[in-house]
Amino acid sequence: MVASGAGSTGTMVAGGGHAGHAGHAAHGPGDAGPLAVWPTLAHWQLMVVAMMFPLILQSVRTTAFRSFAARRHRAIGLFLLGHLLPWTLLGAVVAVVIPSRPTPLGVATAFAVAAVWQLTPTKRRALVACHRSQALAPRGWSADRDCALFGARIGTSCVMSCWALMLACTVAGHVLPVLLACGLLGAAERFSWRPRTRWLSGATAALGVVFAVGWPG
Amino acid sequence: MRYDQYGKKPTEPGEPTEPTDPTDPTDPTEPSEPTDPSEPTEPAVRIRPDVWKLDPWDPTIEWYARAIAEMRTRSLDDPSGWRFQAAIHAYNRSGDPYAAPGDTLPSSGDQQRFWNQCQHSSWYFLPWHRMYLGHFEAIVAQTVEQLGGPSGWSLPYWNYSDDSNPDARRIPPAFREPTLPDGTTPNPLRVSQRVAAANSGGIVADPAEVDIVDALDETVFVGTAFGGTTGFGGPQTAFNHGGGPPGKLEMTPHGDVHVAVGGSFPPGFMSRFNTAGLDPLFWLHHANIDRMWSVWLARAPGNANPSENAWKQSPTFEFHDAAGQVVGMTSEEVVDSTSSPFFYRYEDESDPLATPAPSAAVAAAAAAAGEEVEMTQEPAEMVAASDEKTRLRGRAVTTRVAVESPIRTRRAPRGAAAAAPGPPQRIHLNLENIRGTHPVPHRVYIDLPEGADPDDHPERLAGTVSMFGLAEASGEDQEHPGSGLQYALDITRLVEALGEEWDPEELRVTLVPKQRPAEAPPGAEAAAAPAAEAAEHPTIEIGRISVYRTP
Ligand SMILES: [Cu+2]
Repeated sequence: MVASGAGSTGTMVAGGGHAGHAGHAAHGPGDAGPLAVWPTLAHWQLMVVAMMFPLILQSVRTTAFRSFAARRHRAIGLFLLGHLLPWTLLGAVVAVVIPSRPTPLGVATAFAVAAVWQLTPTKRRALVACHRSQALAPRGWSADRDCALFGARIGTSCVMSCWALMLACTVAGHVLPVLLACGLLGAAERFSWRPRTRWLSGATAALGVVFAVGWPG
Repeated sequence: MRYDQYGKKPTEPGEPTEPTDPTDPTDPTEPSEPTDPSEPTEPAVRIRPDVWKLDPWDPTIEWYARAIAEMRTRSLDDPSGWRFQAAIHAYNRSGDPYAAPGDTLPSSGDQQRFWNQCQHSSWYFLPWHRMYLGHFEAIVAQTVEQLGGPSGWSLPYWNYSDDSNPDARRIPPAFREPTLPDGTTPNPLRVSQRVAAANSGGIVADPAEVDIVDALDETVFVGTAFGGTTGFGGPQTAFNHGGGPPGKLEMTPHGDVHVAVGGSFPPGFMSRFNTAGLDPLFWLHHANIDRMWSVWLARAPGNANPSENAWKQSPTFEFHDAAGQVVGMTSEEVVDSTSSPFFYRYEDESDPLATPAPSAAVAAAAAAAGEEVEMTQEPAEMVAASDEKTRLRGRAVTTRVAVESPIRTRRAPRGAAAAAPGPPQRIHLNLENIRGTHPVPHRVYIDLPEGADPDDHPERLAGTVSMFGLAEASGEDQEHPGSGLQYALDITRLVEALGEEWDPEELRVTLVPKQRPAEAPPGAEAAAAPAAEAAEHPTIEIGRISVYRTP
């Protein structure tokens, strides 16, 4: 019972990984169209898990320490599930809309959008809201509900804050250098004691230039 | 310790702030060693005086008033201006009481870089405010000189916790006079945006609100945001506006004095982050908080600043110095107030408490047992929590907190002699995610007998919560996530004193709102105040009340 929450997250992550590998093999040139949706979604989920979970450690710790020891694992699992929900919804949209072959123009456009998004007040509010905490009911189903809701709430703020950057990663085809650079950028803004809007926007734009110009082809 | 060299200098009214002449051969800053004339001489160490020990219109105070009048004439984008100085702490255009159409705001880049910088609920609270005060003091000192006053002006402190002074909890007289001693010039030290009792000379703070025992008895500087002790200096934070709990000193007396002076209906200058610096008393209040840092460090050998690089070296906080230059500083650069960059000490940095620091007792017990005790905090475990939210509406409210596992185990309590070596067990009452609009201070009691008058049971008082910053912490915006306020109160001693005399299944927590302090002389209006206030009380909601103990 206690482990069920964590268990389902584990399954989900492992499942995503599986599909991801299978999808990768089939992900050759020219296989755009409906068939590409599932591999793209799998990639997306993998990317979200790899890039977002390190960023939400503080919220995970809050969930853990604000729960009784006996239900700590369950609380964390429900939080993570809640957090994944808004990302999965966005991923489903992305998988349908985004073309599977990256082009320099597409990459440049996606990073330009991300750079502009950095400058908006909505983005700033969302980033601040990623650090939110809320009271969790300590016992019973209301505790389960609160943990999942807390996760969904943080996840929604995460999506509001990072969607443009994650989209750019997807447009660039999930290649490692892009993922690393974007991961670092995400960490910088999440963990810096006072994020500098213009600096972040400039860095995002610079990444766009680098990846669009230096595209491996 | 550098300041062992400086014997306590008697501060004579009239010239308490005259710095020692740097060329004076008897200057104590230059011990008998031969001085190389090519080396730049360090400035002498100034004394920040106790405002209540000065004459009401001592030159230090009068020059402060005149400098403020001058600084108020400077424009909003002038770093040495009064409003800019307050904006460094926090600024909100729509909440700016002096906002005028002709205001010139700094560029948005400069606003992001220099304004809204205050570090609250953070282990940077003390070093950041020390820097803030140091630069402010230098700007005032320069302004005093420009006005023809003496050099070396030093910021006085307001010691509201001084048991030997019956007036300690009133605001000092010069801050309530309508005019300067000349009888005609309006007094800039008096602002009307305070609780009514303040400017009439009434006592503004309850004894519990200026109680310094819990803060000074704290054994660790760095606290946790997860239920255990919040430390003397605050929990470790990166991002400053995450909305965790404040450290012990920042909670009480710091937050309490803010709201005690500012009031709740409406919240005056001192009750809000973005207007606090506009009350001249703010700076004397924070000087006293800064003084407590020095007192705590000197109090017991085990009391020490954080050794983590994250505290010492990062981040770099930026200010403008008196010359208008941008200067960046890290925490470790200001740990010794008597040396560069600020060169001051307080008139009194002695230990105000009669009982020895617990950290000293623990260290002594451990030494006797031949063991070493690390003065670090352990992760705490949640052992009790309320299922319901608590809603405060101007009347006493009791919440039942159901116990999940024993609140008290057999481990030795804090302060007990070496019954069992090792860090003593500690128990903290947590008030989580408190949201609302008006900061109404409350006293927090545990296990009051049914129907009892709280005033009859000081032994059940866990502490006070000021709700300072409630509105700011509750609203979601570009600076705050809207989590609300958090508090952790040490109830170890209370629990020990209760012994077996309580229900092991549940803890009852009672919150009692502070009555509006009576004006002096007490008037009929003041007596009628509480009932009237209850009617207009907007709700304050506490998300959860919980109990944490170290394992
Ligand atoms: Cu303050």
